[in-house]
Amino acid sequence: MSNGLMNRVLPAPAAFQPLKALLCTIPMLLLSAMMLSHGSFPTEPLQRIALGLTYIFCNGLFFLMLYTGKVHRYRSVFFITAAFAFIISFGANLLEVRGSMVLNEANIIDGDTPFCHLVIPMVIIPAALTKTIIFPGTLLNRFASIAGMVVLWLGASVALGRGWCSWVCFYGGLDEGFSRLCKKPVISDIDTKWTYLPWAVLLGIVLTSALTLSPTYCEWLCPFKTVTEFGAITSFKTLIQTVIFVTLFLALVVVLPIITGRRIQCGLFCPFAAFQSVTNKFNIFDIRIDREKCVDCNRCSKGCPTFSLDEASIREGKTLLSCTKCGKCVDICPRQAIRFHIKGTSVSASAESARLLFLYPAFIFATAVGGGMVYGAMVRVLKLVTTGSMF
Amino acid sequence: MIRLKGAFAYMVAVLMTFVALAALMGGTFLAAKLVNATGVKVSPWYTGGEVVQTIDHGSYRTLIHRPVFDTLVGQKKDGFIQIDWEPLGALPEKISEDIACFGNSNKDFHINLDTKTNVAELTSYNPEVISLAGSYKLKERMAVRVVLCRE
Repeated sequence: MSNGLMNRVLPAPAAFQPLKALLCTIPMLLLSAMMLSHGSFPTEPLQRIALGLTYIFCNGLFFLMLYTGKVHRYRSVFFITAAFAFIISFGANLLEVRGSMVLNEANIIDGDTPFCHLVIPMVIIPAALTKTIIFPGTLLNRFASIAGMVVLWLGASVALGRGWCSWVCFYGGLDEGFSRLCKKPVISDIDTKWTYLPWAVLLGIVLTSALTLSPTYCEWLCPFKTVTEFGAITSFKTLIQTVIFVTLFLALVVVLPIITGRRIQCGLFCPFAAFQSVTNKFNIFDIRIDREKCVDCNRCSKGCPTFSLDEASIREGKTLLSCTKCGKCVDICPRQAIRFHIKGTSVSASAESARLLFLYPAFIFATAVGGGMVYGAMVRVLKLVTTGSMF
Repeated sequence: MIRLKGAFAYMVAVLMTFVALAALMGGTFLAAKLVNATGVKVSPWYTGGEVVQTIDHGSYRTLIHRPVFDTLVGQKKDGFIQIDWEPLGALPEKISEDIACFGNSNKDFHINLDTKTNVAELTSYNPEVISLAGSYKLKERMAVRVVLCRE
């Protein structure tokens, strides 16, 4: 294969004609209206403006994904915005409901801690053996209740597999955002042995959580405590915990993603990510490489944010189990050899159909979770700008 | 056969959109079903465990939880017991109460609680009652936790 042919970038593989893209966006226009409004139109003018802007933002990106065929480019804009919006809306919500972002013992006894999906791997063994959930939240009928989050996670795992990590997770956009700051990575060669680390962390936290009946990742290792809720520093132990949270956040979510251009927290540390990888086994969607078109340029493996492609997997025409279906490899392949795929169909089957059938459930979850956060944050910011207070 | 497999795969792929809608729109209903079906509860290490005795004082009540020594399998030596007083608005300024916590009529400790300042004092009558873990002003009640250690 000549260099000229290899480097020639072909048009996006599954770009739609404008009318077709618009028609395929119509179902999402209806569904996102339901997801964002929860069936009722807000009465406050600020909320209406925020809802309208969020609606345009979400559906505009969905249309652009179809029209240009560039899934990752527009997903990434959404994902990063949603993650930063999450910090604003979650923090403001805690301040409004609880009066503080600091978690104290009274909040724990009251079950006032919002449940997040990162806890799920840690609660399974204790739930099976003791029928109790080792998390200080509330089972039902409250913001981020335990059962509500578990149902959301189960649905998304069935529909998207580890696509959760690039479409639904409200933390992933943070390291994705920082990973995109530096055009050219300072460190590009990372030993693939590091990809075993999330599995080791997973094993460690599952065992220690079962033995101590407390979610040890949340207590000791979660970098996102730095920007969400955190324990009050009342002892040397809580001081050490806070130092660990801040250090891990700066290292794994900010600095290393900037200098490597990869999602280091998601790809090399997050135990939930390792756990979620298993769901790719039974999910109907995957990413496949057409070996007849592939020229082994390795752009995909070098660009994959979560280290989900290597030379061996490319030779097999598949991604690794850790693939988050972010679509970056599909976007950057110069030969259009990589595509969204439905398991059980031929690799040469319509890439358009597979991509569209994946994008609907993926974007429904993204809009419901991330869109809700964008809306929430926008309301807070508009209130702050117009009234001087977020509440 | 290959065509049939392909058609089935497309059907499952279409179904995923409905799975997404069901998880989001029926989330509250499914969550309640999940809790009922599994019978799970929040760990007593956080909630304080089940209330085993209620003492009515007229305008307010004392709720005595069961002692918590739970581990993954069996029980451990160190634990705690939680005592609540509710409703918050009707509590007297000072609460002074003897508590029997091990399921017999013997008083195991005495609690003095200042509901205004949230300061509590413990007097132990039982060597298995070790110390006061903390006193807490909750949303609708006040609570103390007392550290226990079984011999």
